[in-house]
Amino acid sequence: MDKKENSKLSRRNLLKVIAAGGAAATVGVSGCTQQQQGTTTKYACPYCDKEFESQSKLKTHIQEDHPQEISDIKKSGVITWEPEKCASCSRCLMACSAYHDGSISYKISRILWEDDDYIGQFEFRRPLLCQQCDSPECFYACPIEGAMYIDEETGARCIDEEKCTGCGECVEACPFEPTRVLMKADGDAAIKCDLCSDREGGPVCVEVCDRNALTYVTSEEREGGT
Amino acid sequence: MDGYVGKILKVNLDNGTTSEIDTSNYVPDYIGGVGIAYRLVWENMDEDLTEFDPGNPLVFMTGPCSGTSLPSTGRTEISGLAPEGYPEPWVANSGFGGDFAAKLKYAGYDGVIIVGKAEEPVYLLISEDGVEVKDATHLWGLGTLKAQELLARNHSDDMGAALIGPAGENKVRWATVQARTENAAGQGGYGAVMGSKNLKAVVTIPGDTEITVADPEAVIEESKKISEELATPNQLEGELETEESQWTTRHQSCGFSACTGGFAGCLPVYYSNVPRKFTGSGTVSGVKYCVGNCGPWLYNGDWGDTNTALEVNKLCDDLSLNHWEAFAGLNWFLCNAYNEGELNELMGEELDMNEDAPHVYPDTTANVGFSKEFAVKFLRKIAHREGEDADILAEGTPRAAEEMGLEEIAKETHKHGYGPHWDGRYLHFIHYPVWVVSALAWAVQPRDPFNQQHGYPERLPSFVEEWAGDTNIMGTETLPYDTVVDLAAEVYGTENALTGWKNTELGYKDKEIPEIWHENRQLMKGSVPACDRQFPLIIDPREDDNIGDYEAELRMFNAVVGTDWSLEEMYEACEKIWNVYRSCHVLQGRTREQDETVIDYFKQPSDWPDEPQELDPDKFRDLLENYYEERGWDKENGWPTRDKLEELGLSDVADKLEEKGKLP
Repeated sequence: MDKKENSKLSRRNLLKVIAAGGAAATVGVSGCTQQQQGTTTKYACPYCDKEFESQSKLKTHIQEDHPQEISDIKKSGVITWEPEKCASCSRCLMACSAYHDGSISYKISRILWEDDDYIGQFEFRRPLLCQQCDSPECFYACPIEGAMYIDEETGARCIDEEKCTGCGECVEACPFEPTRVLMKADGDAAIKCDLCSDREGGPVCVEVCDRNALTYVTSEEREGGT
Repeated sequence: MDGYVGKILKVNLDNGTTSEIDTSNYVPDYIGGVGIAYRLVWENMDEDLTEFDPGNPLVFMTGPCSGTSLPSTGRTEISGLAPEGYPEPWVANSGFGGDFAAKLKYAGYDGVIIVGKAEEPVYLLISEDGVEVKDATHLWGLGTLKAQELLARNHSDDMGAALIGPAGENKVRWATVQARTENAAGQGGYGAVMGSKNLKAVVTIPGDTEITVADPEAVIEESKKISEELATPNQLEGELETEESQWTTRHQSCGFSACTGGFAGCLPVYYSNVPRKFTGSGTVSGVKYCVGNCGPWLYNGDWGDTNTALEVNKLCDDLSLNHWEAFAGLNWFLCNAYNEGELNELMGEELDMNEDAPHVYPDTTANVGFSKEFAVKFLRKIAHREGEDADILAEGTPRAAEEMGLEEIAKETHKHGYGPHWDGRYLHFIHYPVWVVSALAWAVQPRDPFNQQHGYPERLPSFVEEWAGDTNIMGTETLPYDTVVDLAAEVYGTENALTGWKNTELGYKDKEIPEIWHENRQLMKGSVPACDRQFPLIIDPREDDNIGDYEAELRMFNAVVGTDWSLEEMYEACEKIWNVYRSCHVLQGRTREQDETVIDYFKQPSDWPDEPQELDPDKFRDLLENYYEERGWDKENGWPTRDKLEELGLSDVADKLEEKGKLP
């Protein structure tokens, strides 16, 4: 099937959203702390024909009438950034692309770089990190089975570049501005922070930051609210 | 080859044409940075070329590690004939940190060489979409801060830019090339070369170019390991200090001017929104670092007034004037001239200068005694060459002194055109025999040599307990002199690397060895590239054997490029580069005679703390001969020989020198 024909809110996709969303089983609620993009306009129940005016009503309905459909998605670990410790040297993103791609460029790093303002009254040049949302919109948006997955250990919301077709749904779905899910220059696949889940020693950016401006908070620590 | 992006851009401003040079023609032999830059200058110069000829090749080079996560590698190295050089514009170099190098590579170029002269003011715009020579009439006359603001508005906030202000435009011989608010190539006067080409700025827009690295895991590992070695323990721990005062927010971090791949050891202080009191209205923000702090030497020595120091610092950056010459060169010359009764009036004002100055560091109360208001006027007028006095001083100290008939006074402070730097006089208080090696470095190099050789005069002595106290400025433990002598023997390969302080007879013995060792290292650092100030890894009391990780730069190079060079092989490459560099100077007329002119400079009475206080000319000439011999150069003229050049694969260089009658 042509991936482009897949509506972001196709029934199949929405099913995945609701099923995976757990306690926050509503469309468009990521559980993240920063601003959200606009939510969808449809609050139709994926398990029956009912429709609802608000997310909370849909959520209540699913919890009451379709409890068997809800399962938990693992909470992810996350990398946090403390501006007061950051020297804006950008080695975090350089190490990121060195590890993932064997070559270095701002454009292929899973960490974005923001130049606030080239010159003038600016605060920082700074890294912008994936928040590994509790309710990962990128993951839900992905129409290809297995192209996005949740890492069992770290909980990272990951892209399997082999399976990814580069449709860009996840890029658009990211609620952050600018999006933390990037398209590769050749358009073959999307890339995003995977918390270096396969790397012994954990996230490479955290490891190379000698000012300790970056901290890796594990899913367990995050779960515990620390 | 990994690490390089493959092309060097050549631009001819005479007709706006561009071409590309394969980086692979030069690597890995010339490493990158200054190594390639010197070779490109050599290939594009002849003996008649002068600094303001359109043909003077202005080279901006990155190195293989630029734009990677390795510490302090975000450096760009500039070379070409240097207007600040004296009596000849000796080919020199000056570099700057920040992110320009990374952004040039991400745009697809390892370097840029610019020849020719545009008819009207232009700037160069480099991107993956092409290279354009663009009209810069609207930018001409603007300070570097405003000009960058306009360029960023026209292009993008993620651009890289290297540019000049009024001082560069007006060909002030001590004009800098500036990048962002903080980074500048200071010495050499390369800002004046840009001005002479009507070139306001080089702007680069990062694209999709990636820098491949041969061994990513090693790059990551070394990024971490070397950073830890470079930083002192107190720099690695804890949060950055943030201090709020009435006007300034201080971060012990520069926030936006750090080298790409920077690290915790580099801790300039950032000030934001400091109200201007002497230089205009509004506020100014930025970093002061090293000599950028030293405005008080120019005016009234009020070191407590950091706001004014920042203001004056930023004024220099905006004008593209070199802090070093302003605060630690020309100012001392003027003060000496005043105190010898040769100068009473300047720029229409009667002078009332400090009669005690100049003193040497660490007496920071030393200053030449200008009022703050006059200091600002002095800098502005020079940058604009406004009035006869300013026009003369814009020529740099030795040429101004000629015009004023004060050559002898200028000789007290300047050599080869440059002010004092780690030679034991004025600024830096160092012991015998450290300054003997300084003298040798000054003799054979085209500019003040310690921009790339801090290791010997600054860092090595800082580990000597008798000289530095219990802990040195880095907060590191110190060791007894005898222990450091032994360690130096091991590192440098001669037992006399630091001998002479106790047995003065040994002060000149074998001192060419540490000098050559540091020359190799300056080329390695200038080419890889890495920050000389931050790579003091010679002695390290934190290590069991007290010896620092002085192969760090080599490992960085190998990890990125994929070579498996030994230190010896690296030094062979450095020797080749050094011979090309020297050959440039020989072509420009350098002989042993010029090298020996440093003898007078080092013979002056000084405030050196121990005996002997003056250079012994005979012993020094012997040392110089030993140096030439060790280098394989002719002793009569100090010229590289055909044998040496051919041994290094430089027979083309030997041929050209022979053709010009400059081969011994």
